Amino acid sequence: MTKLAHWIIRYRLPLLIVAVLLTIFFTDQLTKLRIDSDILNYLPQNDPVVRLFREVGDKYGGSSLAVVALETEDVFNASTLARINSLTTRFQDLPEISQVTSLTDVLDIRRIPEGIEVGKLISPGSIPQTPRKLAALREYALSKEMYRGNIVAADGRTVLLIARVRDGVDKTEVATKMREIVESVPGEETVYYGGIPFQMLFLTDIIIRDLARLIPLVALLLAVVLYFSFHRLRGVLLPLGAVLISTIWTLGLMRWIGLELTIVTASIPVLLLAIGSAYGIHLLSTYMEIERSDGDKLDRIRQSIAAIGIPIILTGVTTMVGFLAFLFSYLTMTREFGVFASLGVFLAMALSMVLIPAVLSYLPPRKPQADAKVQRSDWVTRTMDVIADLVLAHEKLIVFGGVLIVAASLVAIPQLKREVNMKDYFKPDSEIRRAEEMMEASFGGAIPIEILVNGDIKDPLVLKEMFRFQKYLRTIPGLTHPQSVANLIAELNEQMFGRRTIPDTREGVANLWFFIEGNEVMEQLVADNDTQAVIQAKIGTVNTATVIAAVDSIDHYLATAAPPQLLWLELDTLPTPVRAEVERQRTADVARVIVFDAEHHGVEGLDADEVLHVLRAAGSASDQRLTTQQAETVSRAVADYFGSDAADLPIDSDSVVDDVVAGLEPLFADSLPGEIIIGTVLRHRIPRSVYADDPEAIEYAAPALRGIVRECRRTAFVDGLTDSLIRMASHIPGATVQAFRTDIQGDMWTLVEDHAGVASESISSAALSRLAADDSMATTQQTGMPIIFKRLDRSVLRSQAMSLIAAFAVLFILLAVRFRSFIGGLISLTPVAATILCNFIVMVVLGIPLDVVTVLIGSVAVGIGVDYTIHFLARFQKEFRGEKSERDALRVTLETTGKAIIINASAVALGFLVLVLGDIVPMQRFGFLIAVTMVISALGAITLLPALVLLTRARFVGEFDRVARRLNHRLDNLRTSTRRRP
Amino acid sequence: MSVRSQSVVLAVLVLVAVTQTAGAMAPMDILQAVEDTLNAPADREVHLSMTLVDDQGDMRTRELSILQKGEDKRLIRFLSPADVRGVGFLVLEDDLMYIYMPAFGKVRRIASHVKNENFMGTDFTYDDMAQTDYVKNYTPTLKEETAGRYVLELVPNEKSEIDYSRLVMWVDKATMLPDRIEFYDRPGLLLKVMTQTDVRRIDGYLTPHHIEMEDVQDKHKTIMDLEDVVHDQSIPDQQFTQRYLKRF
Repeated sequence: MTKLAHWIIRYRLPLLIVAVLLTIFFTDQLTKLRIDSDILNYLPQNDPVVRLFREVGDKYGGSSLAVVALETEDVFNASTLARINSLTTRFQDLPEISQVTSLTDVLDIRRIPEGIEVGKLISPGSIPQTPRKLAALREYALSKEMYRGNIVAADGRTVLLIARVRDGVDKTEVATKMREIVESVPGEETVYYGGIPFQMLFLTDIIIRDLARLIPLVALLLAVVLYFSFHRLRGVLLPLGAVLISTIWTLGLMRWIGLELTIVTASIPVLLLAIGSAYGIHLLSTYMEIERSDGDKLDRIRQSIAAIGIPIILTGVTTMVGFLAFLFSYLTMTREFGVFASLGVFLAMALSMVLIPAVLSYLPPRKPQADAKVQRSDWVTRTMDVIADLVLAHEKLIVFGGVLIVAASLVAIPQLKREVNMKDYFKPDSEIRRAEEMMEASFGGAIPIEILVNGDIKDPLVLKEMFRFQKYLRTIPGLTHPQSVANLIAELNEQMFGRRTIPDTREGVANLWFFIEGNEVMEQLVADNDTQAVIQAKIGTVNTATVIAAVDSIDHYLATAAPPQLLWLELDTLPTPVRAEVERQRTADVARVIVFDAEHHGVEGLDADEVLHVLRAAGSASDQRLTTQQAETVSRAVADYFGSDAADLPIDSDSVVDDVVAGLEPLFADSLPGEIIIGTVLRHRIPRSVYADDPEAIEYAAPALRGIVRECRRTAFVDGLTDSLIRMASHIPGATVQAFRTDIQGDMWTLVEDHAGVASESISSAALSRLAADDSMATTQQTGMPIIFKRLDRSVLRSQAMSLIAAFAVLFILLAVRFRSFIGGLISLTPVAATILCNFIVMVVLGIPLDVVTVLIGSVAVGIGVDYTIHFLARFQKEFRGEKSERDALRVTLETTGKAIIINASAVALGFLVLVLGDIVPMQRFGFLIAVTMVISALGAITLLPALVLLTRARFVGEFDRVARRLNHRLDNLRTSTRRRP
Repeated sequence: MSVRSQSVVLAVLVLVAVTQTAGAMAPMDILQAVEDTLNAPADREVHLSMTLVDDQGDMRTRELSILQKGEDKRLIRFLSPADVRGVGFLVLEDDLMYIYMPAFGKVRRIASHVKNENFMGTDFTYDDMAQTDYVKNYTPTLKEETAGRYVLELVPNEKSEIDYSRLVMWVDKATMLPDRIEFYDRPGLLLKVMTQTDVRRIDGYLTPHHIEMEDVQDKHKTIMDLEDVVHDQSIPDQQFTQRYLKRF
């Protein structure tokens, strides 16, 4: 240390010059430091989960959604729609945005008389203007599940414009541009901004605002504390200067190596001001103590360095260890924080030891004052004496108190909440929180959740599985609006043919697919030449536990209920026993999906077994006997056919039509007639003159009629079952009756199809061996923000455990070596361990969750808090090894070091409390909790620590038995001498 | 004189006029001449292969036949790939449009105002496919004239339901066929470029055999190669009915 002191003094001028130059350089760097608030960048980029998320985002036009919401009395008015239209087109012009979905640009699949319309809900050029048209649009838009609660709130008061932001672009910049566009298109509506890009924009603003406000505040606070401590200008400027310079270097260095500030590293300036000033204070106070003695100024500086150097380095190193423990964290931003916070501490320590002496050497020595030392804070000393008495009298009680803390923490820790959601970073009354809450209440949240499906997407089996899975997704609490190509195909099928299901043939799928092929919505849903698809859903931002439960139930379904291999069977070709087995399996699958639908629509009283029983009891569509009413429906359909433009055999005469229908009726009441017999009836009943100019007409008409009859019979079967199930339900919410009916009709249509898809493992191998069936394979994978949240959540726990273990392990070694005692290492860590447990108890009691920032508290508290233990034990050891009794040693230690510890801890706590004034919620919590832990660890150091030492009579502090031993020794001597005396 | 020979005469007259008085034509006359050239045959049956190229460079090819009579009767039939074989579109006057889906054995009407939507995954809108009513829908101005071409700018008439802000059309003076058309979207940005090349004279009519439509915004391209072109077979009107749409 003396050598170092000499070296510093010898090279003080070049050291100062280098420091000034570096400070200029780093200040320049610092001004270029940018803020990165992209949560994705905080994650390790080589994590497969993160990589998949990015890949999917890239392939499907971006995985983050920027959402603008407009709120007004009724959004279906011409001016609001015009504003939506104008915003939509202007957002679309931004190159960073791949797609915008809004009322004026959204796919619409709509039934028209005898046909279908696949287009936009509102064509850009034709916004309805009249009240009547607007009311019709409102009614239509709110009636469809595709829009209601998805882009327009069910009450029609709020609409969303959802922009998909491409990956790899600056999201805050996009959000800024979007906000500018919104502000440039005036309107009456209240505007909300939601989604991750806007959250990032707000976060960046808040970080900058917090930095600008909090740094001067902490600096001022520190200056006041320093002034009251030293009563001199240099006492304020030197420690403050050293710590400010170290902050500039640290942040400048971050910029220099190409890093950006994150919400965690943004706390480094305040952190360094609060804890980094201690080194300068210790050095300066030592110098000022020595200053009063005689001698050369430089010599006194050298003496100060030599005297206080080791303790400064030791406490600095322990604090650095606390920060470096974050190297075990999963999050990149936390690791960066660990490295740069500890670098900052190192610089604060090093610069205090180099710059302060160097500057002091050029300052005139203090003029001798008349007995400068003022006797202050006597009450503190008196309090310390009371504590000393307390510890001496009740050491067992205090240790018992420690045991109580451990016990309480065992109860508390399992109740510790975790929160990794970005929403939580903002204050409850902030704009972004209000937007998120509105989004959650009216639209079920804005976090996209995605499931990737790899396979032949045009395969009806794959689509059917996807559709079934989406129905399951709708039953997961908090999860809404699952969307994929499967439900678009089902929607087309419904609007075109009245059944909301996936067709059972590849051709059927392809025919419908044709309608939406090339539509921009497909770019978000299908990729890689139709070999990959994505199922998207949204989840509310309620809380991490719900999000994780959703992720887990999705994974559970994918692992257990999604068959890896499916068989495609044409039922008519199967041997009867196999067919029976396949149909049984199919019925069970349908029953399961019906229960999903019931759950989604809030239908009660339909349990899986009963549904299955009803389905099994119904038998098969091909042997059903039509009721009179059903038969009439078929007759009408047949009659309509002859009158339609598409009829292969048009008949003008009603009497001929009636005659043909009468001839066919007996054929279709009990079963499905064949083409030949239908042809015979037609030839028999229709005069040849009707089809004279088109002799092939009958050949075309017979299969067409058979198709009509088959469909009517199937519809009758499905409708009959639907009615039974609806009667069976004990409660169906009024608003969902129709939607529920449509859904289960679609489910049950599967029962009448000619083909069946069943999981290959569900059929006995004996039956399998006789089949030559096509099989389909599809693999599924979950991705999206929720799975990232789950990852974060796990990592928060793991990081907490790992960083604490690492910090304790390293500190234990350091302390055990310092006190040359295993027990000494253990005892000196006990107060900080108790502090950490108290911290968890405080978090549980106040409902503060463990998040990406509060997870840091443990190790930081250990790193800083252990300093108090070191100071205390060092002093106690010194006093006790002298001739003092433990009582006197404790009293002296508490009056001197104990007092210093309390003052130091209060100052640091005060510094951290400033963070509470900031706007970033996790930082507020961080500041508050660190302040609390500082006070607790200081109290622990002056109460629990001595109590433990006294109770265990640990020998590393000195020999407790020396009085007794001395007595014994004397007694021995006496005995020996008496024995010698014969 | 039959409709057919009238058209032939007209086309010849136009050609003569073009070669003799190049540069003196009014923009509307040029456009009319283009439309007349395009609509010259009484009917036309075309087999073509259509290749869709997406932004990843992935290609998919389908074959189809188009049966056209006059300006407002068209039947488009997909022949491959297998899963859409037989899918047919019938487009009649007054924007009546029907689709036949063989997998369901049914004909369904398609709403008329999808005209501005892309046709079945291609880069052509239903309207682009028709390509016959420039004179009715646009007002042309002559932007430029070179030795071999007219460059027309077409702005949609107010009453038309055209979704483009304007077209720029390069007309080859020798054929009076557009060999390049640029389509600009509503905000005025270039949206698509169509090129028509490999013009051959079949049955006396000039017919481009290679047509490309590139969506420059989505980086997506549709290429049509005409394989088999037959004109003036006197296709009966009956072929353009829902009933025949189903017969495949």
